[in-house]
Amino acid sequence: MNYSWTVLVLTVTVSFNLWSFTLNNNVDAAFDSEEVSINLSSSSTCINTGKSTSQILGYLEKAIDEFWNTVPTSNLRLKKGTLVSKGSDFESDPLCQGGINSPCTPNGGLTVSDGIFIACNDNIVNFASTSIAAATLTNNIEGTAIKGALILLNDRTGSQLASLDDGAFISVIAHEIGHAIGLGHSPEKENLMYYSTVTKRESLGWDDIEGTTYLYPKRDKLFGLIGCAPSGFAERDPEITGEAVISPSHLRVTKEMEKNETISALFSLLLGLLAMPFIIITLQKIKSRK
Amino acid sequence: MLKELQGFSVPITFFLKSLCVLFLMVLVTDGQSKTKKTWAYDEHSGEAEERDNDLDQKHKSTYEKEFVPYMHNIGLGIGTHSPFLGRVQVDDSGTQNGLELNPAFTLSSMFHLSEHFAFTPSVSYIYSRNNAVDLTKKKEFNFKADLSLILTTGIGPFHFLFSPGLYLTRISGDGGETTLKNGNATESFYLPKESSTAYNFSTGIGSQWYPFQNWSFKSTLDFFNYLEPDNLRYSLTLTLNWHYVDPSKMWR
Repeated sequence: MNYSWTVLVLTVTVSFNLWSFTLNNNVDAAFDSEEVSINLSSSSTCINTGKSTSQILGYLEKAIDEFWNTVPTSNLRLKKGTLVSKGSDFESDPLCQGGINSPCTPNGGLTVSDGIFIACNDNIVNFASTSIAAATLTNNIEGTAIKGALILLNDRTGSQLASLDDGAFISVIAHEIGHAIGLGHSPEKENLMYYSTVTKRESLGWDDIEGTTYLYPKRDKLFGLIGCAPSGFAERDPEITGEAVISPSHLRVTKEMEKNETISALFSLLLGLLAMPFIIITLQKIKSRK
Repeated sequence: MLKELQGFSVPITFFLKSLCVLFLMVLVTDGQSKTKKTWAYDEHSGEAEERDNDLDQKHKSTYEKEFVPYMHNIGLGIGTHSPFLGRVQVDDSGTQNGLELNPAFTLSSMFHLSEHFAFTPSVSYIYSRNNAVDLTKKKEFNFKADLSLILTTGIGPFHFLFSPGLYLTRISGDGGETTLKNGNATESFYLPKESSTAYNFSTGIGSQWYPFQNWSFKSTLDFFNYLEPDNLRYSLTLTLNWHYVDPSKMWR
């Protein structure tokens, strides 16, 4: 009987799934703030995307809440911003100097100083085809820290964005946010960071989760409370130096957090403290018996 | 079905908090009550009998002694770990993940704190999914501090577990580039070149059944973000455990 159970467990545990995430720059860059705001250009008409700016803000909120803010192993918290005016260049200019080919030299006129900025853009160099839904560039990287990223939605006449339903539009924005926070494409369809839209997008895939965890690892605040966290605890080793090479990315069309984290940490600390006497007593008793 | 549980996140969170408080209250009460009682051993039959000090002073046995917490066993386990059930997309039609098959290896030791409670610290290594060509690697460790309520049943001891823990998720890569589709062309994307570790506290409930003295089945459902009802996540671990039990302290 025992034997057959053992065989069953061994059999079911030797299967593996496939996974691999990529990054859109060669320095493993990530935002150095745990909370990143995403603003939308107020001057964008977005007329050819088929959506108004208020609709896009609504989609943005869902893209944040239903996708990127759901990773349990990540500290990253994205925040829906507001309509912000940054000038008409963002609606018409190219992302990269001298074309969109990689490696991209960011167009200095479109540098985003802080956070993530979304604009509707009709530049033919950015969008050689109407089937390209959007393009994103982390165009402000200092060392290994992303300071700003720009997301452009295809606002050319005939843009296939206009044909997308709400769910697909949300997943397009969520995909571009993935690039903005430093992720590259994934080779597997189940992941949001796949290069193309898919039949139905309900949640993140494993590559998306692992990638976000890699760039923004969760740091439970309990360690800070009990004072045993070394400096830089749970952060990535900052060994990488040199100028970032950035890949421009395209997608093809086919809460009250801090309060809760503190409560969570106190709750965990309380549990630990309550368990400690039992451990000590037990060890003492064992010792005394000897 | 698991995703539908998400709608019950608030009551589940409340239940977990209440369970934690209840466990601790019962444990403390149980600890206090045992100070008033003694364990009397009949040297002929080998049977143990619980007696009340206040009512049974005259019958104290020469061999009478207080209940002393002791290490009952050391366990080795193998099983499977399914993280974030029902919340990860696994194909392009929107299907969410169910039971996954990530090998888990566990080392544990059980301490009897009282007649009905045990404390079982454990450490597990979870060998997570790897890319077919080893582009990136993920390793998980979890450290648990299980409190067990022990029930004796006709089919062997049954432990009901309250299981707080710490998960360490380590992701690393060797760097390099890979070419993937990008829009209507292809593009070079970069692979991680560092390592990164995430730390998550969890709380969980579970059960452990000892059909035989040296073997047990353990199932644990761990909750992450348990104070954020909208963002609650569940992970299931199933293990088969072999226990080394010191014959002189064999649990009846």
